[in-house]
Amino acid sequence: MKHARKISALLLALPPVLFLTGCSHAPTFNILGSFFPSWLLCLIVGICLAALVNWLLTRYKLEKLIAWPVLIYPCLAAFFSFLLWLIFFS
Amino acid sequence: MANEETQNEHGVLRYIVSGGILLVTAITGLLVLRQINDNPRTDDAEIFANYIGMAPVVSGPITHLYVADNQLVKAGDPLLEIDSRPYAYALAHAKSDKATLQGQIDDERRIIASKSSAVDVAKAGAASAEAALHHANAAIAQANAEVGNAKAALDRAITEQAYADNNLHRLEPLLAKQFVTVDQVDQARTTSVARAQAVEQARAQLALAQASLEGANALYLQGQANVIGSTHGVQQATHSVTTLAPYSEQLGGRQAAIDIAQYNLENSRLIAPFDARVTNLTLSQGAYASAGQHIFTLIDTRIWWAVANFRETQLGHIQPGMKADVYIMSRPNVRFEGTVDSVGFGVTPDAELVGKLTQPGLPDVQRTLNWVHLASRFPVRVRIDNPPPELFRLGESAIVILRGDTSVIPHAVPHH
Repeated sequence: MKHARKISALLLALPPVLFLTGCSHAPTFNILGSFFPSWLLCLIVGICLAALVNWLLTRYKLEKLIAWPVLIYPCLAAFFSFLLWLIFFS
Repeated sequence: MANEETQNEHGVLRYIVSGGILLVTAITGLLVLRQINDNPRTDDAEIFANYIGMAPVVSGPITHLYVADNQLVKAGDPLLEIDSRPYAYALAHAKSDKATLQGQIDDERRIIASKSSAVDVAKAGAASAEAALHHANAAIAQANAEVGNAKAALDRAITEQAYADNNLHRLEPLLAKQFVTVDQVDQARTTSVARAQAVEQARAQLALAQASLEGANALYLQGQANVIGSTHGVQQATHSVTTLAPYSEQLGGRQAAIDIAQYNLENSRLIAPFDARVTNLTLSQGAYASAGQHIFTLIDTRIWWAVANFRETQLGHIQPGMKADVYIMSRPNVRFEGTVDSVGFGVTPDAELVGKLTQPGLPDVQRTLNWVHLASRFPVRVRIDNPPPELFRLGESAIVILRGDTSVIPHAVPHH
């Protein structure tokens, strides 16, 4: 239960932290003069979040919750990407 | 036991969790698709403004350069000055040309007046010739009367001589019988001789009168010739009166020359035609500016656009008047409002599809073709509303997000 609370706290804390980056930003990011599109950033963060979820589930021995990891983890990455994009850039 | 239980618990839960993840992914994916459809966006956009190459109308060395590169100028501000002296001289020359013509016109007017007077003189001459002719006519009548008179006098003298002769012949036989005196006969003879002389005299008078009639006739003919001559003289004088047209018609040309000179003089000073930024100014005063050759560029800062290239598949969702959000990469945190002005109606066709547009020959169509075709993209002009003048630069990278008016799109409303 302790672990579950930790996970939920983490997930709840994530959106407000990201909100702090500001609502009115161009949907393109400048990295040393190269402009990266917002969806690429969302995808990278989404993949990282999916990896984080994987790591957390493994750590707390909950990895069995995922029925078809090959399908679900990419789906989870896509879901995080979509969600982030919808929150920040739509 | 407990392990198995959890396994079972997980057995149900794992399908719920996995299915749930699949479901929310699909839902968020669809939401993203809808967003992209309703609010077309592109990062393939640039800030754009109209610009002109500033070229002088007249040539000459630049004497004053009032602006520096990148300077903001207002409409009507002086930009540069070209040596105006040759154009001032040209104006003076044109003015003097016109004044000269004006003087010539005045002179010509006087000449015409004098020629008109000559016509009047000729007319007076003609009238005088006419009068002389009348006079000659009267002289002829008088001479005729005198001839008649002389003839009558001659007749009378002849009759009187005949009477005197008869009288003498009557008296001479009477002298022998002494019926008349010698003195009476002598007197009759003297009378007869005198009467004969009177006849001679009357004859001479008649000849004189006839001669004067001929003289009067000759005078009449001369008078007629004079009348004809003076009539022709009047005509000649009338024809020789010139008109002002050859000079007065030139007045317009001279005035036009003045106007052109004035125009050139005024254009030796270059004025900013609108609020603009001076760009690409790389010369200093003293440089020779040729007419029609660009010296520098003026960017029209009154209207800024973001020109965004949208795929042809998106054009159906784009109408002029749509609102848009515009971001520029020099200030990625600032959102600018914009309005779609127009959608481009032409881009260069793909040479691989329609072939190269070689003018006289035949279409150069490639034999190879792509299985996958890429969508053409068309420039959409988004006018920036109230642009701050110092932020925008022509050619800056921009991102344009069109705000589809959701109230207009039918499927957006019935969801609630």
